[in-house]
Amino acid sequence: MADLDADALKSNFAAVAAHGGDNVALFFYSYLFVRNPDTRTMFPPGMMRQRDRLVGALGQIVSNVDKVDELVPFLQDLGRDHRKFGAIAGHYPAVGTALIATLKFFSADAWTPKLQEDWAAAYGIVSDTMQAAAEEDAQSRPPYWEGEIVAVERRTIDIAVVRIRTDEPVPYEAGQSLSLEVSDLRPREWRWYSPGTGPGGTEFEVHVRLINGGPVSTILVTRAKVGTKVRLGPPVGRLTLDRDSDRPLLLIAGSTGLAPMKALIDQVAADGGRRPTHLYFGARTAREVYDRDALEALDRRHDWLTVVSAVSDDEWDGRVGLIGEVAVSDGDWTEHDVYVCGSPAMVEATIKILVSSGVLEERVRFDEFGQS
Amino acid sequence: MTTGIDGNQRNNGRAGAPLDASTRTVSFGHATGFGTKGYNEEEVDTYVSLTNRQVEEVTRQNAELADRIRQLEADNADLNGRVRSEEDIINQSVSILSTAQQTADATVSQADEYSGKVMSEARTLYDDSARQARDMVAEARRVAEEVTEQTSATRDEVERQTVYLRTLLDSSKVQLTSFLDGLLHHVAAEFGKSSVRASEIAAQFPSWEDRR
Repeated sequence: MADLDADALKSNFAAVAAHGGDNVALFFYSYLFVRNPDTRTMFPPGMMRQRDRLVGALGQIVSNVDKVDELVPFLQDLGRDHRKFGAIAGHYPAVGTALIATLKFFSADAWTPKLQEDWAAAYGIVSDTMQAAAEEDAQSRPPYWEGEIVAVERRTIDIAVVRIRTDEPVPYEAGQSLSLEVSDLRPREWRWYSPGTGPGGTEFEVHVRLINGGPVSTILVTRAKVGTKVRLGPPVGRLTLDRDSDRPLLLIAGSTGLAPMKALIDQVAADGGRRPTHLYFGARTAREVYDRDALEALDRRHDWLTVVSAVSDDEWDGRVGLIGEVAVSDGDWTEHDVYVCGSPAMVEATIKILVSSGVLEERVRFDEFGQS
Repeated sequence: MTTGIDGNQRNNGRAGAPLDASTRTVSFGHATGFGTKGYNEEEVDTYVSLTNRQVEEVTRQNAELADRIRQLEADNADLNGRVRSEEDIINQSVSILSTAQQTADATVSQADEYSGKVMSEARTLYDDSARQARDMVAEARRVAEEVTEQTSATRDEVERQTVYLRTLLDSSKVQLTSFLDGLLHHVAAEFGKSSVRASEIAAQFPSWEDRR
């Protein structure tokens, strides 16, 4: 993108965004739907979160417009991921037209032919990169996998363990996430969930915590039942085992951040159980220790595995405290590969205490679960 | 006059230049005949009628052009209006759709907010009930233990008193027996002084000490 005036694009985008990201996105989608009514069915009825996402993605693209190394993988993921929405090559020019009309509308008198030309060129590169990745992906994978719920266990009022069966194995790696759509009950709403079971089979579990007002989690915990149809998007995420490392493992999970950790434990077992592993599971209250039986069974089954559970804010018969603090008080983890998954606040606090205890930051992999 | 007569024909239909060189470069021959001066009258007449025709033509063409300009201006205004109105229609549609979407979003987010509130209350209620239930179980257990303790204390007391009473009973029995025994022997001894037969009968009863 060397011949583009990246600074001009950035400052134009900043000026446009000053009208309020939501307003800009609202105009963009309305323009797109007015000119291409068939694209409306690709989106959910409520568009608020969708607009947030668009603004986030555009911001990320524009701020990295001159950093190809960072932008290209992001766009490739975005292109692959858009296949599940039913995005086809024909939609890309329509989106480009809508994008430029939006920028022009909000730029008003500041709009110049040069800006129009540069935006068109930049969008051309973006859409080419996304489409190329999507086409390559289409050679080997369907846009999404069809699945069906085969069991729902509501472990407490707001946490359910849901078992899903797919027609064919979804090619995820242990620790990765899949986007999930409850296709009959909440079409066009996708949220990320991590399989809590190692890959390779046609059945896996996901751990769902009901988020207040969350469209997908509410449905999964309260309404999903045996036979409910789901769709699964392509796997993403880097919370995966480093196969070149033989260091012991420390896995720290907060609440339903446990799921990817269980998948990692499955993977260590499948690899022969050669890496000593500690799993620390933390919850706020005793009732949120929702997978106790399974964890105790794992602890008994694998002699290389130690499971410690703790509760931070309740009375119970086990350890008490924030899970990161409990782990750090138990030993020296500086020679371990460390994995952390939980709420953003839990992940931040845990990494902070680990690093202050001497764990190298580059040895820590983490993932945060979504908040909607 | 050697030029220009036919200029009118040549210029016919060429709007913008009806007065061609023939009218600007015209020259007249001298009048011929005795007593006549100036230009040849016939040629001048011809010229005048030519220029009249040409001026008329120019005027007509001007009027035509003015009409044409008006027409073009009108066309242009129409086209501009049409371009603008297409943009207007799109912008208007965008704005209508945006408003509709915002209304839908408000409804959806109200529903989400409501469901979130209900859920959050349910969660609090659940936690409170669980805590209450746990407290009740603890209280019940405490009471049960207390009752058990009380029961065992009572039993101990009864046993202690039973033992006491039994001891009391035994000692009373001994005292009473020896008192009666003594009384009997005393009576026998006193009575025996007067009747040998009575003392023999009394002696048949073994004393308390012997019966033990």
